[in-house]
Amino acid sequence: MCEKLISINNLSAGTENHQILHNISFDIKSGEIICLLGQSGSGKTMTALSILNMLPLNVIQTSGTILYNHTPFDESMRGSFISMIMQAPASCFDSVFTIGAQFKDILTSNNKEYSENKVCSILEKVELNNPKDILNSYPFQLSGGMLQRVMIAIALSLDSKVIIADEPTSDLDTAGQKEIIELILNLKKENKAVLMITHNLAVAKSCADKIAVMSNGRLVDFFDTHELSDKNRHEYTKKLIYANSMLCSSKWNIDLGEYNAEM
Amino acid sequence: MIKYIVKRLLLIIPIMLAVSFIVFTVLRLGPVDPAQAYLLNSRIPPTEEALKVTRAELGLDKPFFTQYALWLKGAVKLDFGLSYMTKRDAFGDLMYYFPTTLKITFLAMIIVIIVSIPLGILGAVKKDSTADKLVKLFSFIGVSTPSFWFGFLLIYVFSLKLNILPPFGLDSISSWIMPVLTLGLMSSAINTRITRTSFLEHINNRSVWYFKVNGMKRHSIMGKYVLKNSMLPVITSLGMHFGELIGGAVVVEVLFALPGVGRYVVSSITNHDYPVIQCFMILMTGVFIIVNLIIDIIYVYLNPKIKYGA
Repeated sequence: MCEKLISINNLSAGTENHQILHNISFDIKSGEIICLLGQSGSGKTMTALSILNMLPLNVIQTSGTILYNHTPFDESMRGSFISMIMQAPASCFDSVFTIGAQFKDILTSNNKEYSENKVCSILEKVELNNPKDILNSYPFQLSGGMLQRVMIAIALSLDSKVIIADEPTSDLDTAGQKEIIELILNLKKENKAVLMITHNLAVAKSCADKIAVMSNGRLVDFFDTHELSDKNRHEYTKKLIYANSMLCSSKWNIDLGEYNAEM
Repeated sequence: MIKYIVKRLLLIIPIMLAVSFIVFTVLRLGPVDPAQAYLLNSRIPPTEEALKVTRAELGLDKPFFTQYALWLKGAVKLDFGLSYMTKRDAFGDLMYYFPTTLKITFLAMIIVIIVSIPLGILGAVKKDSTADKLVKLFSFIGVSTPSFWFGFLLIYVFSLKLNILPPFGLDSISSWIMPVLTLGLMSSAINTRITRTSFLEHINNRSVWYFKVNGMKRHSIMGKYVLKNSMLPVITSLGMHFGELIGGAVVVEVLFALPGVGRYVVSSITNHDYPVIQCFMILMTGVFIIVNLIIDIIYVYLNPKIKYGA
């Protein structure tokens, strides 16, 4: 069941005089959620861009291979084999066309049939009520959370095996984050492989099967999520866990008893 | 949408009122007394007596605002008074010449659209290539070439040397070619730059990236999404260019000896023929406002952000 969909071997990339990624290797398997964790600037997004073969013009892949189902990259894989869910969805849609028109164009350019009933049922699946209204509205008429769901719906309709999600929760409030994480966990049931980029350990812990920790362009740690509290964790991972627990414990120290009594 | 159009149509009234007041006032502030101008145009020596009679005849002895009100009352009925020079109805005279000017302007506008938009897009899509450099060169040369000089150049090459186009007059379709090219050159050059910049701005939209990552082909992103977005500022600028073209048409008409309003208005200005100048300015403003209204309606139709009041 667990096919190896993408395997990254010794990937290095950089500009002419600055190396950004150092010997990254890991595999992405179907039915598995991998969280790529790290600070901003640690190379998470660059890794994702390498996988999509969308590196900026001045950045070149200097060594290593990325295989997609045992074959090298082909432009037709974008959309049909790998799709992407981006952060800040309000700017990811075009403001002069309706959501429906953009949905349709993405599907038809991947040789997928667009039928309104089918799309509506997928939109309902990502918990968007009134899917017809959503399709007829413009991006600026919808909230960030709704647009993020539309993106997930597009990824689902594309039916690609691998979905890369770049910080899909970062612009949302906590309730919205939880709902998006649940939708991403649902993707696993469809036997998709998900590579989720996040800087939020709590988000990673709540949905990932495996966590890959990046720091300064290196993959410093790679482990199953239940091994998070293992003694052998890399120093940097421990630092992240410590920082996270500091933030969380300060939150939970508030005495809720009194608050409840007032209610 | 309909509410917007009605609102814009109603707005024409105060705009035209303000313009009419400015036109009337500015001309009265000039150094030449209208009564004197009238007499000189009629070849009557401006003696004290004659001036007094003329003032009474033209209503110039009345208070300023009364004069304005009387003129406005006539103007609403398209009666702008008699020309001092020809003693004919100023509006009627202008309407005899105006269609030619409008034709040249609209033809030049079409030239601007069919030259600048494809060139601008070509430059943006093939940024930094030889084609793009040629497009930039065209814009720079076009912007910095005075239109009358370009007109002379065309006459020299195509009429004197090659003898394939008539240098003046409007006898055949080929007579239109040089005037329209002369008039459209500068606006085409400016609009090419605007199109190129606007297109480049939208090529880097995150939505373009998102579509590409999810398998949309480059030509369909460019041909649909980037195109529509980048056309919005271009459409607005075309409205501005229309004003420029209709003003430039006057120069081109003089250059190519065309029977448009150009020469008539230029001689009206030198002869201080106030009724004609006033009528001409009101006409120009009216056409400019109507064209820009149409352009604004197209803009709103294309831009859902305004349509849905975001």
